[in-house]
Amino acid sequence: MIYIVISIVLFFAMALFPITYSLIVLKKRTSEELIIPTLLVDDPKYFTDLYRSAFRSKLAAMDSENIVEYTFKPSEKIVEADKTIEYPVICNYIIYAENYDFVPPEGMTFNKEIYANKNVYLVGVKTLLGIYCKKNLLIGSGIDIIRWVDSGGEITVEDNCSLGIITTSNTRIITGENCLFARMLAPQIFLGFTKDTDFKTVSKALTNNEDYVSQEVIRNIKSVDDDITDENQELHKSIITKYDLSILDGMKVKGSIRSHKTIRVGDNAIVYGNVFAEGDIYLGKGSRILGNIFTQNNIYTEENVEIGQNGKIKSIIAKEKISFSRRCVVYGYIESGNVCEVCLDEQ
Amino acid sequence: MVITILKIYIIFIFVLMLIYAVRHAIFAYHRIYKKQRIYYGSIQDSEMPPVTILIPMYNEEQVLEYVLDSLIDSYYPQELMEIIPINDNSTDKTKELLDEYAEKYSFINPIHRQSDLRGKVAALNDALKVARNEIILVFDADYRPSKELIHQLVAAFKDPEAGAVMGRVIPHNAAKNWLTRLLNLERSGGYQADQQARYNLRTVPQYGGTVGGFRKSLVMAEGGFDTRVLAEDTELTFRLFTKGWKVIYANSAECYEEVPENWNVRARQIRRWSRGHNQVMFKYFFPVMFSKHMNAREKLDGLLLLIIYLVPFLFMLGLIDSIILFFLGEIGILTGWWVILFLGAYNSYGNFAPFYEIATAALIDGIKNDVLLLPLLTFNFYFYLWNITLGFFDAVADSVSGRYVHWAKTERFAKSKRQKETTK
Repeated sequence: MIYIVISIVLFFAMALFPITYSLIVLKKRTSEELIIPTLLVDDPKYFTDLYRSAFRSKLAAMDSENIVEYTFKPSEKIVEADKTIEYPVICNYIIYAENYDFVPPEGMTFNKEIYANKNVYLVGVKTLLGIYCKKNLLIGSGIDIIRWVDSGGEITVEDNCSLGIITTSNTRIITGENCLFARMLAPQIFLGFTKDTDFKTVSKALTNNEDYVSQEVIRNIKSVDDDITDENQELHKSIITKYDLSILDGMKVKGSIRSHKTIRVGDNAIVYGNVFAEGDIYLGKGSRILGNIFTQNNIYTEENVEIGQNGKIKSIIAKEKISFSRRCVVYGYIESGNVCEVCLDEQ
Repeated sequence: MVITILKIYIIFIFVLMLIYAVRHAIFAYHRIYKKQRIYYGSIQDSEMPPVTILIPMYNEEQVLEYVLDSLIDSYYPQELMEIIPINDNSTDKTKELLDEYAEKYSFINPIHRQSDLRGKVAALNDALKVARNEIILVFDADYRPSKELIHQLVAAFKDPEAGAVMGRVIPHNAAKNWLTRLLNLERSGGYQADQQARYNLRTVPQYGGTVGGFRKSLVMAEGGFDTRVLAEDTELTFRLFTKGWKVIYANSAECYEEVPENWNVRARQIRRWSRGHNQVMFKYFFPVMFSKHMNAREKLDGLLLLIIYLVPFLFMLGLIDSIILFFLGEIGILTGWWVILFLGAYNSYGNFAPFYEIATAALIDGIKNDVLLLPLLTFNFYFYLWNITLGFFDAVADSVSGRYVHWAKTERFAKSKRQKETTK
């Protein structure tokens, strides 16, 4: 009998304990509503715009010792580059260059941001936290940027640089070889070029009817070849396939492409729409994608690949790595969840 | 013979419970520990498509200003937006308020319906006939879209395989009372864990009929939505999958909604969902099973999703069955190795309100304290068991009689903007 009573008591205790405890929690504590973040973190220029506007407003409030107070970090000292001749090798101040081009001495490390109203020439600098430059910016060979670069003008990046989290320009970014970055935005991005290139001749001429993207869908094909294209080697359909897809050399797809596996675009092939894949995307020599590229894996390009169209913004986004070869052009936005490499394997 | 059938049935119920428990455990594990698929929200494209936004409304004078003002403030270019509030035979000031907005904003073009064929589905069909754009987004009248939400949702349609997109809803009245706090947990589990896991695993994320959108041509190819089905959202999900299109889940496309604040309203809502979902189950069970466009993984998840509002009814029969067996002295089925199966099923009975997923979501969302409320979902479980079963019978009656189903609006609790100003 005693065992039955104990069993019953234990049963009710075990059954009621969690509910009783929950009722106490319900009474004593309140729930908080989930907050939908309003930060536009998907906007590539969000943080640089935020920094710029914060800096401008703080500059106006700078005291006689050039100290500014931020709400989101400790007070910081600003050094006016126009009045400064010598810098410490390791600079722990924000640099503000107002009226003259900023050309720091070689061998420096900037642990704080640089804000420049004119051109900036960084040659021989070791490390830099972040920089905004209203005009043109030269990032010399071997510089390691920790966070961000933003410029109203052209950004030229020499070989062997690491560009941090985000690099943006209102006009053009040109990089040399062996460079790394995570995100990049500019109307024109030239990757793996040399400084003496005539960039006016880089963009390939567009054919007529360039914006035409067919909505008609062909499904589950494995390749785009002569069998399914017309006499001009053109396919006027979008493709959705569960297979690995190959577009043979020189073919034109006047539609978008979606593969559940990998996509291989042959040499000099053109896709007029978007290219989406679950697996890796390989872009052959001289191939061209006029729309966006998106994959849950990696993107590899060979030489002379062109993505997007001049005058428009398109995106190339990979969850993993993007690897560019020499002389690739992107009109718009590049984003990698891992790293973007420019000609890294060729060094 | 009868007892054997009763015993077989109870074993069937336990196996079914275990299947769902494993399913939810896989989703929860995958959400926390495995590779997450990224969404298309960060796509930058200077050629975003024009979009038509449909907002079905019936007596929504209390809330319509919130949704319209939020959309007007959106970062999406106004020249690319067409907003169609669908006034479905309202008897309050909805018409007057909408006309005021239409006068001020050229891209707001309300429709005032006076048709006998009432309800959300019929209203959407009427609006689709006049919608100018291929990309259609739908919001409920009590929703409050954030500024970047339109871009977030529309970005999905850059994927040529995307037939529809679904965002995430978050209750803005979560802290109101016991019910809203529990519903907040359920929503969190349903979106942050369940939908995202299904998107990660490439199974069947569900279009939810609001904070989402679809391609108009795919819906109009079959003459619009089926007016005999209450759950046009679930119907569209399976229509798309069985024809080779996908539903994309956008966890970052978040929007506030109002959840029911009293149990009667919640009972009617859940009964309506059950009725609509089961109508879809009757219609799509075999098309899903034999679809040429769905792979085995999609079919398995699709079928489990389709019968999810049937399972409570089956489980209720199982409970009755177990009581009968007990009084017949035949519950001795609980012996031997089967006991492991039964214990597993018993311990996972709460997966109607999937405990693993809710705990996972609460962890990710940073509302860990609310996990302590999980045992209270036991009450919701029995509450849903009853109302979902009623909804199932409604759906059976609908299918047998072929009757037209009247759509019932969920009661709103928010004060209107004007009421708030008056109170101040």
